[in-house]
Amino acid sequence: MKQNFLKFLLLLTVLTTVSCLGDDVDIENNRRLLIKGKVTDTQGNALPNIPVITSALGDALGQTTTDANGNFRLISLDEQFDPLDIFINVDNFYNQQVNQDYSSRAYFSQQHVNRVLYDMGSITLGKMAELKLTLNNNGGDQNTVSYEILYTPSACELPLNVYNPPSDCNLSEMKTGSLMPSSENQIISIYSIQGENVVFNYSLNSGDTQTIEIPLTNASNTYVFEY
Amino acid sequence: MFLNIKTLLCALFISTITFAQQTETNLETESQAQKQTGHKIGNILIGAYFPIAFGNNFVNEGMDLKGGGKIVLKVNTYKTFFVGPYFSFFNGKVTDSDLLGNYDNTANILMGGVVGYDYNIENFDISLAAGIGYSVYANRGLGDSFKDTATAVWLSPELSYRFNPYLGVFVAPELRRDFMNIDVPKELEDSFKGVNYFTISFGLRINLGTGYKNQ
Repeated sequence: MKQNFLKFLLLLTVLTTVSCLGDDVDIENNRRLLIKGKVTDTQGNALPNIPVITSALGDALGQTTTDANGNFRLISLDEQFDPLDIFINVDNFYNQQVNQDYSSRAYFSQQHVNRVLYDMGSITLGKMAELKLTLNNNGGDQNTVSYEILYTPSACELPLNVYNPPSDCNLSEMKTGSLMPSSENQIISIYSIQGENVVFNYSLNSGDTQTIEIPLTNASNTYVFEY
Repeated sequence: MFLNIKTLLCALFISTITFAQQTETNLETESQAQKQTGHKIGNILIGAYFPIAFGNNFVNEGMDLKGGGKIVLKVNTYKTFFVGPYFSFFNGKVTDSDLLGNYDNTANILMGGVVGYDYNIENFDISLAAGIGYSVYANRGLGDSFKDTATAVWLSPELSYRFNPYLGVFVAPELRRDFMNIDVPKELEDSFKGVNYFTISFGLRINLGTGYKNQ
């Protein structure tokens, strides 16, 4: 009898712990949000069938796709306590782009606000471009190189519900590094947008900073830097 | 608004009980003539309830409504003017989450009160009732539940046929409007601030009192 009671107590404890571990969404009563806008490519052409999702804690509170004119009008639920995120061309877990040909846009809130209308205006998604930047160490020279790579990320993240937010992610991402005479050759993959430039700033042996602008003209691009 | 509805429902409930008690007292002191014809205390309606949403609103545009049920107690107050509590429910499935938000289904419960008049012709009873109540849409989705609430008003004629003095069947169409309490931006107000229903209900009518015996 006592053993059964202990088993029951153990089971109850486990169940309580498991239920507390889950971070479930709490949907707000009596509220709907409207999220609207238009999605175009860099030439201003409408992009149809691009998914638009509102999300909180990884749950999709509302979802739709752009129509033939690139317009979307999404009616969403709201979370009671947690901030709302809006994803364009990305899944609700913010894992991957849905339409692999185009870049994505994600708007993240820092805190929950009682806002019911989000007019996102015109959102531009560029065609995806990959740059394979090879940093070759020509043996024999004893050069050191420090570098920074500035580029526009294909997965653009912007703040939501802040005063005067930025409207795009131009050259907002940066990678830095330094190369020693003994460094191996490196290949750096950069995911950006066709038509944009990748800015490669480097300094040889702590000298003046030189700049190379690498245009991304194709879906797949390569550039070799030798030192 | 919700508090007002609750107050109204309480008042309606108390007045129903009071009238019912007064009816019993009156029964004891009725004249001989009244005793011969009996007294119509009221009736209870129990039946199926089938709503059809119409107009430009989120239920009509994004939900598939299922049937439900209703139960009404009508207590005669003066002659066959009646008052009483009302309860109905139905279920709905979300068919267009683009228009409603990402959830799966809803269960609507309406609690309120009715007033009206009952007219008897031989084995038939015809009545007209107006009601007001508190309507709750208990929604489920994403592993969570949440509510949309409304104040509902409705108008319902009813036709019933008596098999015997105590039991009959009824059919009652109903025009109902739910004034929703959902907070939405202005451009969604047309769709989310009110829902119109045309409903059909039918089922059993249980007559209370001996007044129907001699008709």
